[in-house]
Amino acid sequence: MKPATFKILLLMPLLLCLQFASEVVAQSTGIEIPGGSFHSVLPEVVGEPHQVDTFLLDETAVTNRDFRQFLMKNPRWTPTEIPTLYAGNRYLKHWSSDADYGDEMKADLPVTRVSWYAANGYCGWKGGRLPTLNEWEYAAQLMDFNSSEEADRFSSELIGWYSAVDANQTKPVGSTGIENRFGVKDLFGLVMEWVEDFKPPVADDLSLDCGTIGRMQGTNSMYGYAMSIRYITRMSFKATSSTGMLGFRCAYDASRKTGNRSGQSSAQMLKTPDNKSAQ
Amino acid sequence: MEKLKRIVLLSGLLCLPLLASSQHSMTMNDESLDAAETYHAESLYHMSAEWTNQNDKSIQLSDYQGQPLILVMFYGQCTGTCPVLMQRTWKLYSEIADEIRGKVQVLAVSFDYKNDTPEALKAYATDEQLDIPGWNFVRAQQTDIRELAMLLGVQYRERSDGHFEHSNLISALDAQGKIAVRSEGITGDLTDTALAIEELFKADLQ
Repeated sequence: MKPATFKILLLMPLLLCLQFASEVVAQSTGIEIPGGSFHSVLPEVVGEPHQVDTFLLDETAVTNRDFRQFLMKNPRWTPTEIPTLYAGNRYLKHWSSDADYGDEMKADLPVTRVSWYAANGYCGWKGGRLPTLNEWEYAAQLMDFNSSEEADRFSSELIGWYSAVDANQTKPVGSTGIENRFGVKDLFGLVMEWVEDFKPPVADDLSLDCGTIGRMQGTNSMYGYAMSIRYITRMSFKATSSTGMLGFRCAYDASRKTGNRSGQSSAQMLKTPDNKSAQ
Repeated sequence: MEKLKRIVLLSGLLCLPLLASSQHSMTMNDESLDAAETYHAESLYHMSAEWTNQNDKSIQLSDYQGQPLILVMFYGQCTGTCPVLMQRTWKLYSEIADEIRGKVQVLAVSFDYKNDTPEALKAYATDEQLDIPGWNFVRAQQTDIRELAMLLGVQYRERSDGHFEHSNLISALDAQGKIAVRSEGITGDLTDTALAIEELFKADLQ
């Protein structure tokens, strides 16, 4: 026997090992979003921008195909196994059977009617987590527009979209044509998305009515108004909510090496109260 | 040739631990599925999270099945309200009637999955003079901590400086794992909370 064949024989079981190892831990991906700051509409510290550290965010929302894979490996999250503690009875109600969305045409649609618990469980399985509210908002503000008119037009369409998110008309992920500066797609225009802390500590002190929107910061700008609607809608969810307008994507901590505080950017491309230049 | 076979076999054996670990997690899953049917719908024993305590031992919430449990969330590097919250937990514990206190279990869950290693938790328990039998200081994977916080109604947020903003809550689960007692804040009288926890033990005896 040639030494080379011998080596291959020796390697084969090891390769098999690797195969099994990769089965155990799902791959994590994500686009790096450099740290920076942004202004929130929440009346927390007036005038103080929120700092966000560098993190990774999925390019698109999690699809039906992705979620089916998760259910096959983790049957405790299937509609029949999931306890009411984790999801209401509308959980994945639109799927054709317990762990299948049926029509392959639906494979690339964002998965919806998933509770916060299931979304959190999925991201943990992927080696990540849900993005924090601030991370999501920060990534969403990192949009480039040619002019303030264009930003206003976009925000105005956004308000229209938020007021009528159509749960039955979801399109495949990546199909909206909307992406931020770093190529994160469909943060608007596809589905609303779960975040890790969708009810921030301040949520208890706010009543979710129209008056509250009026009292929020930044409602003097078009985008600020759209943002307020988004915050309030999000705070009205329960962790067991499973609605057709809600999907999610995952985030990942940046490794210590890529965490670079010097390359900070400030999310002020969209018209916000402090972004006077665009007004 | 014999020798070669043996080497191939040996390197194959190297796989076994890996296979075993994946097999293990599947078995764990099956067990929790079987058990899940017996838990109350609102029981926190449905959580499959594996917590690691200050002695590097693995704990699941369902390990407490049949006995009430005091739950509190904190983090070790906290210099703000957490020492107060933990001392309050101790005060609550010490207000429980002597004959019951010995049976009371306390699970202190850290928000800080990065820094609160078993060693750090052990040091914390010692420094705060909370290395008491029945008290466990634990952490788990990030999403498991988040899941428990959501179930309990604890809101928290990690700040850029590594500290955590969080609400202050002491909870108690009954013998079936349902949330039975909630005490919010870091001030106020704890007599009623202590009585409510004693009731959980009495109810369990009936």
